[in-house]
Amino acid sequence: MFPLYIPTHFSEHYQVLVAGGAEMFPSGEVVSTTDAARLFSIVTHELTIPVEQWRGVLMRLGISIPAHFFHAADIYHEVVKLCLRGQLRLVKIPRLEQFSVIAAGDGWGYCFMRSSQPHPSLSYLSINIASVKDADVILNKIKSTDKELYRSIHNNPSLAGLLKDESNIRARLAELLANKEVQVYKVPVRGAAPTVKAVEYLPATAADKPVPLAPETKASPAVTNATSTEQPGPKSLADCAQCLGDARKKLDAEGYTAKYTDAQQLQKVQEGAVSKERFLVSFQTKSTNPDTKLAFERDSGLAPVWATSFDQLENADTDPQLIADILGTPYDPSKEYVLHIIDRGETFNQFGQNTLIPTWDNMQEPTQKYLGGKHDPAVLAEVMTPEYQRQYTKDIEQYHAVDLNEFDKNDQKDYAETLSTKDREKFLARHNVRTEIGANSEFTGNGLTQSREGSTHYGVVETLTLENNPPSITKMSNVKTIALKPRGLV
Amino acid sequence: MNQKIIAQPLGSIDPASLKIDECYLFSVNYEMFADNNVRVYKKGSYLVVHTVYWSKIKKAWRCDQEEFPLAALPWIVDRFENSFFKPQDQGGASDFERSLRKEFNGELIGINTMAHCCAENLPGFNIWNANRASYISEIPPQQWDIPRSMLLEQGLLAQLKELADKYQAGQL
Repeated sequence: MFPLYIPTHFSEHYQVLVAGGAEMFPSGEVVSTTDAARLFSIVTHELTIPVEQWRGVLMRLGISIPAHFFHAADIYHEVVKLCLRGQLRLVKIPRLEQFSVIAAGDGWGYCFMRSSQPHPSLSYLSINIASVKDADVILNKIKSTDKELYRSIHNNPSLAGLLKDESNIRARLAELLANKEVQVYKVPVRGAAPTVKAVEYLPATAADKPVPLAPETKASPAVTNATSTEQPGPKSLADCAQCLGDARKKLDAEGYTAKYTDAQQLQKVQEGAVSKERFLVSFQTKSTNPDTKLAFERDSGLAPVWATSFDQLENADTDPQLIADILGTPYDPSKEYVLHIIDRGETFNQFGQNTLIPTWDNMQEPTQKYLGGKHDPAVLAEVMTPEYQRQYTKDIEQYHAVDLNEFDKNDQKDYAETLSTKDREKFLARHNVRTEIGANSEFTGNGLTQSREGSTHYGVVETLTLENNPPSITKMSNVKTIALKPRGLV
Repeated sequence: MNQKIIAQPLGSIDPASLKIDECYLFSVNYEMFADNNVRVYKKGSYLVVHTVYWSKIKKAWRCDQEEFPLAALPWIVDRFENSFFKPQDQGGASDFERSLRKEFNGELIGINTMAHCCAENLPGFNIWNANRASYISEIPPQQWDIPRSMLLEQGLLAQLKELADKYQAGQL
């Protein structure tokens, strides 16, 4: 059966699969079956399929049509329920432009993607490669060294796992292309971005969807190739706006320079100074929901805000792609982004009193304080360490392999039952931290994001704010929202 | 208080055959776990949350239950109303108070805030009993997860408050 792809309004695609069906596009992102709000948003707003065609989709996938499947609201509701139960799976296929392009030197480059199927987008066609010899012809057009090629490939999440090291990388890549495990597309290389008009400020009614800072996935030594000088910080939101305007001029004239070196960032994590800065920033996609909160696009609060300080992002100006690269979070050029600057007040009484830099050490105190009554403090201390995190990551992989829901208490108990008594105590305690505070199995606990920008290894020092009852952004007079414009637009 | 002491299980409720000290109170609907059957009972001097669910590992229907002294119910309702749902400047809990706990009849009962309650990024609460072990994992605490929206918009807090009032009036 041909794979079933449904395009979105943003030129992306979702592959729709029945439970247990083989994913045809392994570079895609499997949508969590537990986030009901996101699933509903995808089904009702992103997918371009007319509502009446869902009946045909389910029939094609061999799924029984639910009893109440006539009116639009019922159909959407039933489709989301099928996803929540795991009977229907959605795999988001990224746009071709979102993958790194390896320049060939003539204004064109090559984009590699892991899949036996052509990309569902019709914008580009993959190059037909029937043999290793055909593949060698393409690879020989890439002038970069093996080391540079390996680095580019490694930045491509769909290929990183296939090519373990840089030795024989061309031979291995040729083999993958010839075997159709990898597809290659010829695409134009983006030139240097021209300058852009000044910063535009939005009223606080233009709200947003939060973009969580990405956890770092791999540790490596810091480099210290940048210099910076400490400047007096802004005193008001207006000062922050002025600083961003200055940063744009500097960015246009000199390009991006990281404000702090990796060594300085590591020092800042140790000192904890970033969590005590007055101005925090939250990078989010733009929406027009006036009730949106800094934490999550929900109708109530009680959620952590993953952010960073204004000082940390200041040199990145208002370019959303640059900010996303520094935060190590995905960037979608089809979406509009905003930056919320939050003034915590001189005594931090306006926002984020409970703010910390999420390192293993810093997580110990809230973990003991909030979960110490119901779990053994010694067990909690043991599981919030990098050593136990390796075991937790394995447990969660196994957990997902048997299709269990991370947020279902009954699934958690069922899984724990398969472990030894000692191990189940540790797993349940660690997983409680994950559901109550939020450090998941990818949490690395060094307090820093991994930058994709290139000049430094680390991006920013993260902050985690625990708010019990945050108001909506429209009701926060201490927030300035700035529309972010890519440098390529005028 | 000694939370190391694990209380004897009350005994699993059989919804089809209630014992003389067991009384059905109401059902709770979790939209994200639509196949689960969650019912609240009174069993002796305890409030019991009983769940029947499909086990993906055992490939069978299983049940589990959480047990809280009825004496804790007025306190639980009060903490929601006057701590978590009240602004700090009106006496509500501060952002540093994410776990409230109190001992009832030798059992430590607590309410914790949750960032991911029953679904990713869905805020809610976890009511726990440190002195009772899960019937499934055999590890304490027993825990009941409730998304914030279920308490407020779906009226679960009002139902619990009605029960607490009845308990305090000696009518439960």
